[in-house]
Amino acid sequence: MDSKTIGWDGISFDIPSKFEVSGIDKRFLQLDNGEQPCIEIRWYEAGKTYKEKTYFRQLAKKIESSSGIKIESTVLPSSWKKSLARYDATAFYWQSDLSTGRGVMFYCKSASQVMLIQFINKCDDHTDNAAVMLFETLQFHQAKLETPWRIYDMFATMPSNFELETFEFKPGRFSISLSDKTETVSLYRFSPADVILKKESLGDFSQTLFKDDINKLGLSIAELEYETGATCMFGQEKKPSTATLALSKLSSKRRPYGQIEIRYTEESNRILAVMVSSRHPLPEDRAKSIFNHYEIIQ
Amino acid sequence: MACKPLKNRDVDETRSDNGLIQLSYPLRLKPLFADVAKRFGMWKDGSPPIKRLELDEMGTLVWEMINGRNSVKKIAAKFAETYQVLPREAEVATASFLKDLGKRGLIAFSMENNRSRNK
Repeated sequence: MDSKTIGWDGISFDIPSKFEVSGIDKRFLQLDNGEQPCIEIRWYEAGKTYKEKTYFRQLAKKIESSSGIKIESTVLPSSWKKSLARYDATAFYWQSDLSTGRGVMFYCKSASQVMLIQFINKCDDHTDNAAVMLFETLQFHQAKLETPWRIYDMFATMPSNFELETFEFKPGRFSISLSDKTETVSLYRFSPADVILKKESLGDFSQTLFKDDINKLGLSIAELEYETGATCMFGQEKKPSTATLALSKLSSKRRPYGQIEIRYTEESNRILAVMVSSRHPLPEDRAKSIFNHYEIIQ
Repeated sequence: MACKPLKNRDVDETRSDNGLIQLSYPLRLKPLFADVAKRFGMWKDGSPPIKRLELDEMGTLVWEMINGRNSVKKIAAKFAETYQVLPREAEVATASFLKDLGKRGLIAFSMENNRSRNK
């Protein structure tokens, strides 16, 4: 069966190719089978003192009070048992006037995460196969050094201490912004590149797009054009002013050092951009080093 | 996604030198505004004012595929293929564009074949 990997906010898993992400938020994914939403995945930080019964009771109570749907625990479906053997899992089901669902809740001790996966409406063979594939390949990356961010056609690997700040998935414009205590990294992806670049150069496009950041960080541009693409780099020629540096010491949110790199390749027909802002001076090749782990998957 | 968009017959389309389509259509006004428009001489020869909409390259492709036979899904698939974008991205972009055309009264949506199939 053809499959693809999805990586989002600390977890990754494989799913049959025909399934696609149709809803997305922090620690939440909704998948559809090409026709309708059928899988919902939520995960929570649960600390080291997780108690399955308490958590399940709290969850059932919360859902009942918000939607009136009563959640009941049930036996784990036989087809799920093997793939969930590494977790202590609790299966559940619910029924409302409009639909039914079943799901499973389990705890990953090494990552201190509680996982809640539910399958909406009747589980046919396709959904059941997708469930088994998801359970077998599910990984938590919170305790690892690096986390994959693999969503739609974007694929980046970032250190696990970078947390999701903001994201946007609009037609033609995707972006994910991640940050740790000192640095914010924003990944962008634009399409279709050939249409965007028909009327303007990559330099003009990026200067319009990052106008505010260029002014704020005092960046200047270097452009490179080659036969099958182009690259634009924005860097700081001058050090930020003493006042800006002093302010950045007072607030951890102020990041006075910055760099932007934008790349276009004819082959992918996408424009990719990386913007880094930091509290500390950045190495010259910081944006480039992020690009080493950021690509488009066709 | 199974709906089939149909063009409004009152919409005139002209093609510019660069191959892009410009749509001209009668502006739909509420009676109160229509009265004001008439007083200011915007109503010529008993016809409401004409509004123009210039489509870009991608809009032109979608407009050309609207014929009452192509479903939104089919138009989105062609869009995705032509511009090498993700199928889901094309579906969202196409549906949003068609919805906008529908709001302006430039197209309507037909479900005819789907209904007869259900029968």
